[in-house]
Amino acid sequence: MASKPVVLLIHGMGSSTPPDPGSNKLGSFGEEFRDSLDTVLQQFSDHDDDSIENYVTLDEFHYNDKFDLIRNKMADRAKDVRTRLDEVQGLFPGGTFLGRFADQFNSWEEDFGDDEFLYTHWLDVLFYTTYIGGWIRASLAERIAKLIKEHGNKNVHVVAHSLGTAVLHDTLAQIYPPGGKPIPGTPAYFSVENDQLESVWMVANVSSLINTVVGLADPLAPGTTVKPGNGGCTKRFYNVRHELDPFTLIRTFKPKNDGHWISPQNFKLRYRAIKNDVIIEPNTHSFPQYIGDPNVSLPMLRKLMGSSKFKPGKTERDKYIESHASQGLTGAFSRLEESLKAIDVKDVDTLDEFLRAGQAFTKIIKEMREELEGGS
Amino acid sequence: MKHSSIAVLLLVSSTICFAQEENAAPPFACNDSLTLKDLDGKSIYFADVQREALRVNNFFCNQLNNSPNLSPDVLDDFGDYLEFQMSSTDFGSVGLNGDVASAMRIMSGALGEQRSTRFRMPDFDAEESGDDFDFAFFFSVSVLEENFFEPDEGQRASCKARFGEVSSQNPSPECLHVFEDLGLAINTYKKSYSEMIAGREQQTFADISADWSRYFDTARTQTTLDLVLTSLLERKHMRQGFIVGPPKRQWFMLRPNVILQYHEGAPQGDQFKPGVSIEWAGFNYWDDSPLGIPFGLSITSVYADMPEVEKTVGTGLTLHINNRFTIGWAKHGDDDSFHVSADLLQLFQNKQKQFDKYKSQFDGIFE
Repeated sequence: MASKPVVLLIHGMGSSTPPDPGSNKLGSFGEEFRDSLDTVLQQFSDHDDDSIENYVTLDEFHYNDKFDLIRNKMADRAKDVRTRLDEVQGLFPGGTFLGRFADQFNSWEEDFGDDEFLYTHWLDVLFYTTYIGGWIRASLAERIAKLIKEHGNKNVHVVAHSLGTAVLHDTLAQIYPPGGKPIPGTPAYFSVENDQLESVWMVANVSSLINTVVGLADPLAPGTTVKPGNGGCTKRFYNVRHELDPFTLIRTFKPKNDGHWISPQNFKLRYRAIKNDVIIEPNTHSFPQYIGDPNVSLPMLRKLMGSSKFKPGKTERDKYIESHASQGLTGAFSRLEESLKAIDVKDVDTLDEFLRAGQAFTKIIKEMREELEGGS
Repeated sequence: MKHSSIAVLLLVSSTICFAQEENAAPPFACNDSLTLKDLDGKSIYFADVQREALRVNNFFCNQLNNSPNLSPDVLDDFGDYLEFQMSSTDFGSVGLNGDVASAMRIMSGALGEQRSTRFRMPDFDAEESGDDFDFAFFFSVSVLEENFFEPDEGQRASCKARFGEVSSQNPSPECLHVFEDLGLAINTYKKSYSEMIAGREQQTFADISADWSRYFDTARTQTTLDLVLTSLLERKHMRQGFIVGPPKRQWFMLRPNVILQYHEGAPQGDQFKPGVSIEWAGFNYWDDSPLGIPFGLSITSVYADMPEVEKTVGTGLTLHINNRFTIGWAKHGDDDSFHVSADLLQLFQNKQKQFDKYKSQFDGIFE
């Protein structure tokens, strides 16, 4: 059994490169995480040449290769049918109703293999809400079990971003069933009494929104096990959102301290709602920007490294917080706030709204970046 | 119909093979030979507790391995031991002693009860209670709601002074670290059991995961519409409160395909032509089925450009066998047609060549 804690990282929508099998190098998501935390860690005098990897093992769960496989299969099939259709169509000039019909239904999947934003990001979300999500959850369950076996439950931390928060939530809800009900025909389940994870970090949490489609478990239901403390699958639960991240504005994960989700005592001791507001980069949904914020990085370093290994004094911490705030883009907050008002992101339960917000947000980011480049 | 029956028989006999995998369950024994060397860390302040926890770990596992009807008394005994040990440990202040003893009583009460397929084996935890980097902490047993104990500043200082005397390794420990060390010592009692359970769960989830991989390798490739339809119709299966394998059935709708059609109404020499089909609706048992083989059925319309044929479009039924082969019949007014197809993705790697090869194989049957 490894003595170091392990941090399981689960990426969001879009492409991320998994680590090469057999290599010790991290994948792209792991690198983002490590680099973001190392940049913060090295601000402190005791750690000026240090890395988070000296304290924890980073492990990545990549699922977009599964989506890619399916997207490409669909695209290949559609293209094969296209080739055949073209051959057949040639036999009857002008085509027939049936031929045109087949053609129409075939056409849009031909582009699935393209490396375009629509196909690499939004399709991930749509695919996850179909039964393909079951494949992703089974693989993640296997990985979590492996880490608990190898490191012990008290050494397992999980950090998920964006769509990854829904993947993590849904998987945990299934492997930590309320009442400890195992999979029929097997003894398999994890117990909220015996096997609690050490911490769960939900960064840009979209689990409530995605659940409106997937329908596995309401993240805020009183009976859920995806919560901290008594009856929950983790000892600590950190929910992180940027005030101007449009993806978290729809069906926001925002539990109240009213005893509905968890007890007031658990709420005080085991749950942390972290809200960022500094904008270093126009993309407020970006994972490195989230992790680099002192609101996140300081408690995260403390939790992952342990209080005996990360204990910077107040002066150093304040200095870092101040220096981070000073890097914020001047006027970016109000500029983005206005733009988001203009696209009128509604707190509604539809995936449609999510996709619409995403498309508009992509445009805003592009415009803001162009403005910044023009101004520099 | 005679021709299609021959085709069905040939396809079925030549393509279906069942490889029943025997998944022998790997042995998941509880390691009853754990030594101090195998542990993540050694307790600094509570070495006696850790040694006892190690003994309990090994004894419990030995009992478990040898008896299917294990009595968890050994865990009750461990709870009693902890209660006694902590009651007699001076934590540097009266209040803290009471709280620790109380935590141990909770631990003792929780240990060993059998829940579902599991024995209750909670962790003893000490955690920081704030984000202020000031080592304020609480300790708890991960079972009950009312199990928080938050030492006040005086108690923490007292505990720090008391344990500073115990170890030359760490002469001025934060009280939090003393309690973390206590957790390290106590939680040793469940190390082998936890490893065994997690290993067993890993295998179960790996088996389910392998079923999914097999599904995407062997089942019929679906369009987005099929994917959505299957998700909708199989949602009861997918929304069960545990990790599930792939659905037994795939559903299809408005699915275009390319076929090779034999039309009995066409003139000799023109009866066999490539054409197009649309599966209006259908299903496919991709792995097992009531018939014992993977099979599916669809309502399909077909078209091929046939000379001297009045009704080129016909509608009928299509049978899918073993996820790869499709055989169908359609009614065109008074005439019948028969068609075959293979899953284009899986079969037509080299499209034209394979297509021609496939066509030529069937020429013999239909002539």
